[in-house]
Amino acid sequence: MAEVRLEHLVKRFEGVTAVDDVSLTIRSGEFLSLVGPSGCGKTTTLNLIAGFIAPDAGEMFVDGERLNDVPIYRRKMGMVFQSYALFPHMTVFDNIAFGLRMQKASEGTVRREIGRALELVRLPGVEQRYPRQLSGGQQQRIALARALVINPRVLLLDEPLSNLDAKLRKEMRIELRDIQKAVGITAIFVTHDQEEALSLSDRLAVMHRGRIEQVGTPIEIYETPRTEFVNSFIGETNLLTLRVLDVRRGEAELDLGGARMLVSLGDAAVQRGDLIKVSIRPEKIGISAAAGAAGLWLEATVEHAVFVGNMTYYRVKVGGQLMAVLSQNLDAHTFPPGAPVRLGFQSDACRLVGRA
Amino acid sequence: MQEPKPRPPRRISAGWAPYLLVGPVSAWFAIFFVVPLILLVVMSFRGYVPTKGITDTFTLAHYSKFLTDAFYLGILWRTLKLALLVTAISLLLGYPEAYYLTLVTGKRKAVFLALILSPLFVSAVIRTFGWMIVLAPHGLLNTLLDRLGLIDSPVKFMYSEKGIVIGLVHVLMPYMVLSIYSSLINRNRDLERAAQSLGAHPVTTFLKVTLPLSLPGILAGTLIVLTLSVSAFVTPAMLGGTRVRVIPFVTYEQFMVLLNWPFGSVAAVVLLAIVVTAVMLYHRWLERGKWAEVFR
Amino acid sequence: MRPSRWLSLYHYALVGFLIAPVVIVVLVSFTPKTFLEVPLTAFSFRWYRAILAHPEFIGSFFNSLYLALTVCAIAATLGTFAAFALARYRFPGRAALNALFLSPLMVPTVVMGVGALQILARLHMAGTFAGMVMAHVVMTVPYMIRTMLASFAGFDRSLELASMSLGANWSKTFRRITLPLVSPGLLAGAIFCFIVSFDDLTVALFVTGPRMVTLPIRIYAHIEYYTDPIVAAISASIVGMTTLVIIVMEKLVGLNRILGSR
Repeated sequence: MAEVRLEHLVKRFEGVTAVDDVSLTIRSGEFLSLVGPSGCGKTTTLNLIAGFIAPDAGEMFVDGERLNDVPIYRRKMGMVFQSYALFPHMTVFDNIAFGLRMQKASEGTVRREIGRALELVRLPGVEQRYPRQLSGGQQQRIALARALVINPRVLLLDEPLSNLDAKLRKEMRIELRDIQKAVGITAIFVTHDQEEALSLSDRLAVMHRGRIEQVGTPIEIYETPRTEFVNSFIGETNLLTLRVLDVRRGEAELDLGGARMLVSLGDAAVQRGDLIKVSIRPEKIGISAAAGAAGLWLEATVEHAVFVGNMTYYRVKVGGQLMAVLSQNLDAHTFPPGAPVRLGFQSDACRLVGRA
Repeated sequence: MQEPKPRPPRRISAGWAPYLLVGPVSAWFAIFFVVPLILLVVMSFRGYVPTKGITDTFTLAHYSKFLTDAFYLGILWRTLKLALLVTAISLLLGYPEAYYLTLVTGKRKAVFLALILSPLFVSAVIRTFGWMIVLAPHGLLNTLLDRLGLIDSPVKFMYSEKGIVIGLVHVLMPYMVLSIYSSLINRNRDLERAAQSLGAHPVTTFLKVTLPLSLPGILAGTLIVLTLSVSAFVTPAMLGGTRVRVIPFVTYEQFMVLLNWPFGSVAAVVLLAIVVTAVMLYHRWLERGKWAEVFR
Repeated sequence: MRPSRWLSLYHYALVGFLIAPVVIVVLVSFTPKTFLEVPLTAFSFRWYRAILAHPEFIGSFFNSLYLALTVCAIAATLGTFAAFALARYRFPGRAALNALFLSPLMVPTVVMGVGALQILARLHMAGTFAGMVMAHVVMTVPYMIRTMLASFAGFDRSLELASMSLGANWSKTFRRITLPLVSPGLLAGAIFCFIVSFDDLTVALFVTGPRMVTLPIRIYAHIEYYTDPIVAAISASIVGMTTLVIIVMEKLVGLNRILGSR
């Protein structure tokens, strides 16, 4: 419902720059995640948008309205906290009613809106309970209802699912997404869990040390990471440092300890003799028995094999280096340690990350 | 000593070891706490003849005198009135201080806490002596007020209720501050942020969120200050003396000066009853009241 | 969130209010005059020297000191044992004893005083050192028990189990693991007991005798009749000593914690 625009935001704490020149536009109705490791500045950015802290430089806009000097209580943003922050001394009803009463809504409106909000989060009938009588998942839903009932322009979520157990997290993820889509509200979601970010978002902004490393859709971020950090933070990958032996037709031939590997270069300028960093994700590597298959490139030996049911994680030694390989359980066969295998992958599955 | 079975974390049910450990204290308490209280109650019913002393009779005369004589009722009322006043002032003055302490951190906070607690390490005699100097007719406070042009002639602080209130507030405020501080310090700051994000002005946030959540601390602090000010002896004795009596002083006077132990015991029993009632009411309120559900 | 300017101002004013009387007493102790006045121009040690000419004050000081040390030692020992039993064992009467041991905290000091007087009179112990010890122990043990209950409650029992699984028996475990780890609480409780006993006036007034005059009583009596600054000098000396002890203890407790947590 509202577009949020951040321009060159800077925030420093005691000599540390927590947010370092962050610029970002979150489109109306979009679900955007700020994702990164602890200390990357994602929560600080969210707090700046909410107004809990003031930026040292930069500006923030919601639908064109400049936010910088607007106090928290006039920004009209719904916030969902990691700790839920439900008022323990008020019933669920009073908790949700709080924002509406601040807006001086009539009691009739209040009752009606609360009924609708509880329907939306699928928890009808709990109005008279106190927060501590609810489970974690229920509290989170009430927190969501409370934030949405005031009809905010933007929904801000600060790691709201982090306190839930794994199974509940996965369920709540789906519900959260459904509710956001049903209401159509712009949502900014902070998390350190990249799987969560990938599954929930329309777009992700990967942050590292106060800066945004890359913004894009989940597929873009996963398949075409633009920096080494994004590459290793999102999903697993093998990072190899290899020498270029030859360059032809947009591909580089690399030396992997005697074996040969092909990497597509895109429009990167790379010359023979260069030392470059290359990334290839474990699930993009095919693994098969040493003898027999045609057209495979690399010979390797299995070091470790871990069978987890639907997949097997391998650690293989190829050309003196270790690589992780993820193999789908197609034929219930696992190569044992010491077995000779062959690895194969598309040349564009292997990405150039940068110079070494 | 018997070796207990290692079983975390519940308590162990193990023979005679615990009795051995609590034995000494129990015996001590029996002789020097329980028996004295019984003796006290018994003494309050004994007769007293000014020339002969304590007589071995049973009488309710002392209770009736204490509870109907206007003089003693006046003292009772004064004791309660001063206690309530001291409690109210300590609360009003102590709350902002407790709030301030939650906003500073590290070494500064440690220093301030130490300073606030420091009066407790100094004997009440010394502290009150300091107040005697300040509150004297030509002492510091009157001199200050005079220089500021607020008064024409010295205000009578010494041997007046005003002086006692000032002295008691000084002595008891640290308890109030600490009590409120401990219930404020662990509050979830997100609650205040949530309230503001929902449109509440900072003042509204304080009144509707912060203040209610600090209520346990307020209640505990109020109880401590109330009971301690009702029971206070040294400060009212030094700042009020025989001119402004409170019940603890009456107790002392009756026992040690007038040697009327029975009547003194009545004063002591009434004082104890007031304190015990206050504590019981407080617990009733906390256990059963509206806040029980929220805070337990 | 930093405190606003007004709040900070208020805070400093309040702290000033809290430390004012003691500061004033210390200042007055340096006056060269014979009446109570805050010295502004001339400072003198005459009243400190005067203490030496009043052996009764020094005698009372040592009375109070020995009393407080004795009370402290007894209360610490008995209190720790009792708290340990209350915290660790389940036995009939536990809750009642818990309440009983903490109840003196609720009882007004004058009531403790008259109670002590009555029992000590019956036992013919009024006015004796032992009598006062008895009375003070009852007053201070609750603080000790409360502190030690908290210490024991917060104690990680698995440390003891680890020790025993490594071969140490119960008494070795208690000495090497439990005791060091609760020693900060023990020390804090002991200091509190000491202070309560040393500073007590109310109960002492009831139980005192010609041979057993404690310092607070001596000071109180002196103030009744005289208005000379010698009391200020004595008070200032006590404050100074207390501060010193606190600082020393602070260093020690800090040290203790380090030793304990190893």
